[in-house]
Amino acid sequence: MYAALCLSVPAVPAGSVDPLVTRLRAGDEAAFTGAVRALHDTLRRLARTILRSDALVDEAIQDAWIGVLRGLDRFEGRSSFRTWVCSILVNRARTLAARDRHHEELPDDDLAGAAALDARPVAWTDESPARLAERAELVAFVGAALEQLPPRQRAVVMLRDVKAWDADEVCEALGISEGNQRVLLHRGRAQLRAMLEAHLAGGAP
Amino acid sequence: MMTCAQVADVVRDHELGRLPGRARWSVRLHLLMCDGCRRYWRQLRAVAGLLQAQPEAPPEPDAEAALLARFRARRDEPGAS
Repeated sequence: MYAALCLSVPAVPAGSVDPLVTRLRAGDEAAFTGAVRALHDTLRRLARTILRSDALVDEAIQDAWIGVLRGLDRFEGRSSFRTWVCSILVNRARTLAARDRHHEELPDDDLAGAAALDARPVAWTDESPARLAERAELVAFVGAALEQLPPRQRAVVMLRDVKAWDADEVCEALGISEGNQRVLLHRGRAQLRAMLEAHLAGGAP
Repeated sequence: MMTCAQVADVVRDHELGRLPGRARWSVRLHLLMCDGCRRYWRQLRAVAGLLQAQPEAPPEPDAEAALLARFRARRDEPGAS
């Protein structure tokens, strides 16, 4: 029944009350389970840009949902529901990171200097998004490449290009400026593109 | 006329239908005339397609059950959570 909900939690224009929030307030269990499932991958990946240990990542996700339940009646819909959940997660993960004595702070990305413009792009052996996405080896390669990006670039690229969020939502969820968002996205994309380009040129079948 | 750098910034937003009318036409016009930006856009789409093909892990059943219990407690005893 909530299959559609499981696929995605859509952005709802700020100001209007998200029907999902109404259902959650009314105690709709299917709506809640659907939201927990739909946002799990996003929350896990986001938490992993802040925390290194899987146990703390799981804890941050649980805490975030508990925070959501506590704040549900006060949520005013100024941001989308998913943006709000993610911003709670980010705060929670940062708190856990600061508290963990063994935690090694993940380095901040260096944003100094203007983002270099891409040189004129060269042709790839194959540029068809559909055909490339069918190659399991390439999917794994790009997944690993994403993991290698500095944490904030990874968070922005994940939300923008994996989850197709818009820039405003990403700024709100991560608490960063529009300018920083743009630089982080540009750098992350440039890096992934360069890695894939080198990989394709390296004689992959 | 938009520059290549400006187009690179918004070409995915354009693809996803998120640009207002004026900007939409500027990007469309630029793409029509610029091979480099068309290629860049294709490659960005290819990377995004590969990123979106990543497997997603569902929540652990135990964690999900614990949250559902919290949800029920909140509903059945308002103010308890």
